[in-house]
Amino acid sequence: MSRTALTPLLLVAGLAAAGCGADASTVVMAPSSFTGLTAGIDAALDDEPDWIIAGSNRLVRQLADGARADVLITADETTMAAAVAEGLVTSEPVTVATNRLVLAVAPGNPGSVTSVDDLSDERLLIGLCSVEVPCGRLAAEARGRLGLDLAADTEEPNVRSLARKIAAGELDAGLIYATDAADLDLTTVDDEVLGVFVTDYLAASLNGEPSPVIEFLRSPQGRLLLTAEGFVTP
Amino acid sequence: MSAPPRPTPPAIAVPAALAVALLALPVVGLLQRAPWSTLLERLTSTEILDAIRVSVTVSVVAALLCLALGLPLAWILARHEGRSIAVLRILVLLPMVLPPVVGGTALLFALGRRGLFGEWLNRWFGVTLPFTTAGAVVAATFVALPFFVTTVESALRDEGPALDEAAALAGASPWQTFVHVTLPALRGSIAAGVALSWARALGEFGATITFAGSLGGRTRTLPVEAFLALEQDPETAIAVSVLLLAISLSVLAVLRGRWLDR
Repeated sequence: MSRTALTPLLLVAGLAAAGCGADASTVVMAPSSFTGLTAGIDAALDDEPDWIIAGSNRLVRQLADGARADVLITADETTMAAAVAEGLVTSEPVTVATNRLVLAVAPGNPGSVTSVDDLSDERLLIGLCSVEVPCGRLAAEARGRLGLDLAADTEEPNVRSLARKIAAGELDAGLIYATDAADLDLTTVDDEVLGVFVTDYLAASLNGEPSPVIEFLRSPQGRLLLTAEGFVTP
Repeated sequence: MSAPPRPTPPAIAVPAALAVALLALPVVGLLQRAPWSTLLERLTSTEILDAIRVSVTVSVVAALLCLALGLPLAWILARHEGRSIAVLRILVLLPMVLPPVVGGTALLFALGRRGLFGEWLNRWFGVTLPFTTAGAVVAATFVALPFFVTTVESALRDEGPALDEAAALAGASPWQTFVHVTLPALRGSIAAGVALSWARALGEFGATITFAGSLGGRTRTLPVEAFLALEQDPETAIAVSVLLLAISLSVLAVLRGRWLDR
């Protein structure tokens, strides 16, 4: 074989080698709303885990498609139940935190939003999460049970992108998680009718061994960290 | 009569075959996972029909904007020299290099309601681009423009100024030359540029969802619909991808038959 013909073969070999470069550190799959927690967890553990942060459904999808992970944390029970049903999770999931839906407004509250009823105002720019993701399901539940007529201008693919658009003042208001509001220092409007819309965060070990990450989250120190980020702990 | 084809040397055949494999394998992968029996049903739901309408509107308007704005820009780039032209040429390529999500964020910083220029748009004209179909068109045009400009600019350079000079000698004004000499000579490249920019606009996702958000019937295009469907209903996401593939292939095939064959 001539030397020039070898070049592409070497390229392919190089690509294959690059794909095999997995190391042995713990991989934790966590939902978008855990973004603000990772630094605190890293600091508390001896071995910093590698984080895969994405929407809960997407994480389960990735697992089903063969992604390797040691811990799965989902932002609601439905998604964890789906992972269990698909045989991706064999250990018993535990509740590590609870999040709640809050009405967040843009800095300075330019839309003068005072209650969830303002979310039906067509003149305001209102954002929700898409119903495909947990925070959107929770908002849809609130819409149904409170009989709200929500005039959404966008349904974002994850709570983080929604929260950022509210923080940037591009949206007047939206229904996001308490944790994202706390993390981005967003002003929230107290509306007690939202109090019942909560979601449990479930964690499960995927490698058959107890996970230091889950143990930490359930320890007093871990609970303190979760509470500081706006979560309620069990 | 052309000479009988000579065998292709392996140094060319092997990498070319690898390129074909890289391009074709994902398509095969997509097609073998497609839910053929329920395809029509999935693609005629209200949500998907809305997304088709939004996608067609946004991509066609974006391609026309690329033509209207990109053709004069390509002409300037091809017919002038100098440092500012070199800088301009890099600027044109920027949307190709920039991750689309970053491009969308940059658009938000510039043209968002609280953006550098968006604030004026809002205050003076009452125009707010984000979260509107117009915003989706802006995002799609931003990412598609380089494809039109680079295609037409290189054709203009290849053609060279000789025809223009001849027209000028014959007494034509620069504008007459542009309309009656340059444009007809470039017909094929302009069609290719429109086709490329339209295809890029049709598949556009990152800048759109970042700048224009996602609302059914307004800004939720087929790629955004596919992305969201992946969360819970991957089969519908695959069906939407097959549809995107079919739309783009058939349009490109028609264009190739009509104008691009040279």
